[in-house]
Amino acid sequence: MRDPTVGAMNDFASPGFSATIVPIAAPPAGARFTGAMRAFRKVILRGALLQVVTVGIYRFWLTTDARRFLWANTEIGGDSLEYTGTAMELFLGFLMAIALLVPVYVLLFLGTLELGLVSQLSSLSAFAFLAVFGQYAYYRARRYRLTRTVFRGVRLHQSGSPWSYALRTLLWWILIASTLGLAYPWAQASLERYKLAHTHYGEWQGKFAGSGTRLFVRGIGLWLIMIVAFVALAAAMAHFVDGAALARAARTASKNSADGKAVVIAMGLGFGVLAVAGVTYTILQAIIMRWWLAGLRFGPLVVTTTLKKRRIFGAYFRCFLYTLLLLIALSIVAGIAIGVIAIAAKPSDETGQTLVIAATVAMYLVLAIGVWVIYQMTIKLRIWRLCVESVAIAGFDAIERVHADRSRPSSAVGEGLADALGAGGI
Amino acid sequence: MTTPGTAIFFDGVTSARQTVTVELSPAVLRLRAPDGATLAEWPYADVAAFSAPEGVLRLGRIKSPELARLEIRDPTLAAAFAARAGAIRQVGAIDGRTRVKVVGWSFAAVVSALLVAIFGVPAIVARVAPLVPVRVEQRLGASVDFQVRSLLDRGDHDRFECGGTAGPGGAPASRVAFDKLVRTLEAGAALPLPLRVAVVRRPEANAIALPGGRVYVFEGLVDKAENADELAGVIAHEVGHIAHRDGVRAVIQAAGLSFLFGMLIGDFSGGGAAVIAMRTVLQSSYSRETEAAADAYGAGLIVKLGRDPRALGDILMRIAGTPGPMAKILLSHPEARERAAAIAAIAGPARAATGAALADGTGGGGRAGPGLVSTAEWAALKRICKATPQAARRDATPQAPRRGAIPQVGPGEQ
Repeated sequence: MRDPTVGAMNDFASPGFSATIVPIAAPPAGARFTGAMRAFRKVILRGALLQVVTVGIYRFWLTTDARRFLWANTEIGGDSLEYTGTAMELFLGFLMAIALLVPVYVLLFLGTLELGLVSQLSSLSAFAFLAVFGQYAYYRARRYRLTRTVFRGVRLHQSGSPWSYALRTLLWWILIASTLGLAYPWAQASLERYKLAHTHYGEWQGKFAGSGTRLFVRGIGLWLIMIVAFVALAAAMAHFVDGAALARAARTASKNSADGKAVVIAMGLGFGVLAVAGVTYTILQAIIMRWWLAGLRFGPLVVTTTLKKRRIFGAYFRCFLYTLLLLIALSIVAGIAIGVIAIAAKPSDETGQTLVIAATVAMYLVLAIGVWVIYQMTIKLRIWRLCVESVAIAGFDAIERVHADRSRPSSAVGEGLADALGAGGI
Repeated sequence: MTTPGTAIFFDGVTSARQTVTVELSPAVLRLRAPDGATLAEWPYADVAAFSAPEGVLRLGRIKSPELARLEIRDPTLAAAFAARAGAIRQVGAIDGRTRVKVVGWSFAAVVSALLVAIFGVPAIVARVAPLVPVRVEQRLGASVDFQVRSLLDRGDHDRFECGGTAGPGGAPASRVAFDKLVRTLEAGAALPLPLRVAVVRRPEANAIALPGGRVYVFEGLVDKAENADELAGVIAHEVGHIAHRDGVRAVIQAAGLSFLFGMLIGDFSGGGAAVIAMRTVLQSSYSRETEAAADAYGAGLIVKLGRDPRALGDILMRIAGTPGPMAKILLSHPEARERAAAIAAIAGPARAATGAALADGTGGGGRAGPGLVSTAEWAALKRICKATPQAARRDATPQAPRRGAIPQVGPGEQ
């Protein structure tokens, strides 16, 4: 909905007002990403290594570094965003989260001791509770991020209740589960509407204009593909694979060739469905991303996007390809390492074993860091950049007159909770 | 003298972009509108640099509630400002010194946590475990039992336990013999809670103790045992776990370690794995101590009953076979040879004290004193799982004990 007063303000020019506004033509209301891949890679690589050295404590500093880079290099209509958060705030948020969660964990532990180790019901309800609490944390973390985002000297902020958001998520999850995922588009639309309606840029309020039905229409094909894939998998399993042979193979690790064939066919089918699922997932991500960007509204601003699905797909594919290359390279290195160890020491004696373990640990660390860095570079950064560069904003002239309001930066406790509960984000 | 230049100014009240003239006077940074009016005066001491893209110097005031920002894109003006203001605060920027501090203190924290894990946690567990009421242990045991059974029992549920139950026609002879052996051990042990031992249809040569007094002896172990003393030795070892309340200890230990490292180490790539790795190594080390203690207890119990505990060492050596290529730090049990040697060390003084009165552990009728069960009873016991042929005997080949076949049950394996 357009604010009529803003349109009127466009034609209104008091002498004092015009004196302070840049007289030259307003910059094009596009957006661009000015950061170099190289600079981000440096941040990520250094961060990953320090994470290992500090067993993860460095994550607050890494997150802050990465956000500063992403925000500062995101330029909308000629001005870049500013991230004002600090690592120390995140660290404090983590400490607050610990203070809040320690009693919860102790109670859960005493509960399991009293009620029996993992009574099925209690573990399920604990999981549900932590999942909902994770959404609460996510919403508060989002508030932290928004209140640490400054654009043209005005802060973003978020109103709304984290508990209300978490409850909505829970209800939608139940609906999604009971409709085999068909309710997902409306869930997404509803939650985005809640988030954006409670997102503010100064006195402007955000709004989400994307429609669940539209997302449903775009995504239903993918849903059908997945259903067909699963039905086909089940049918093929029933037809080609002898279930008894599979069970026998799993139980006894038998060398029977018929059992072996059953295992091979079953694995082949499984991988096939996994590949279909992977492709479907990335396309769905692209559809959602496009739909989300095109639904963003802020005051009189209307966002449009030219995001290409194949670019998003390309980002995921690149991640997959690089990970595959890394795995191949690592297996070659592992082969060489095993050979060297075999020559240098008997694999059965103490030194040999220690060397094997050290090599395995080193290999694992390289793999973990490598995959994480690849993910950050190929998916996180690339998709951020693609989104930013695909965006055009109509009515951007109105940005000259947004008043800051009295919002205050929020505490980072939400970030800490989200971190402790694994309810991620950027 | 002031150096003028132009820059972009956001006053923090509205989002309006203003082009301003910047004057670097000796004490303040002065911003003037194009019409010459002074918009702001910032003392250099209050000015700080904020996060900005390459090539932009973004200045603001430190303690200002408003987010007024001055963006200098002209490098000569930026240089002039730097020369005038000197070193100013970089808000939120992370410099090398901070990084070193983070790394250093993280390292110190990890070392400290490791020391607590190695020395503190076992000490705490040793003091807390005896305080857990038997009632709680039994309830815990019931739920662990449920899980363990569903893990182990993959065949016909009614036939999982060997030897049947005492029906109207009386229990089979094998079961009577087994129960006699168990009762003798239980009488010698004087546990605070009832001991419930059963032989179950599993091919591995292994036995496990659960919290709450539950012991499962695997069929494979009965097959491998050459005499009653060997079987009695293994059960006595498991009784040791129950007497030491190792099941409860394991639960407290696991919780303590996850708490210690899980909280500290966040979810970054490899963080979860680091937690698991540390926990595995530490728990294996706790477990090796626990196993050695259970061996000592078991050997002591057997000596108390007037038999030779070295039979336990014999069967351990037999089922261990050639150890696989596994490093010591990952083993949940000490090596069989060390265990046998430790048991022999207990047997030695005991034999001297009782004047070589201990049986030599070869069958029911030892040289000194009667066996725990008679030769006939032992022969019946050996067939405890064979009473009903075929069906459950899907895999008769006894296998070497598969370490880790039963995940995280507690330190009670064999």
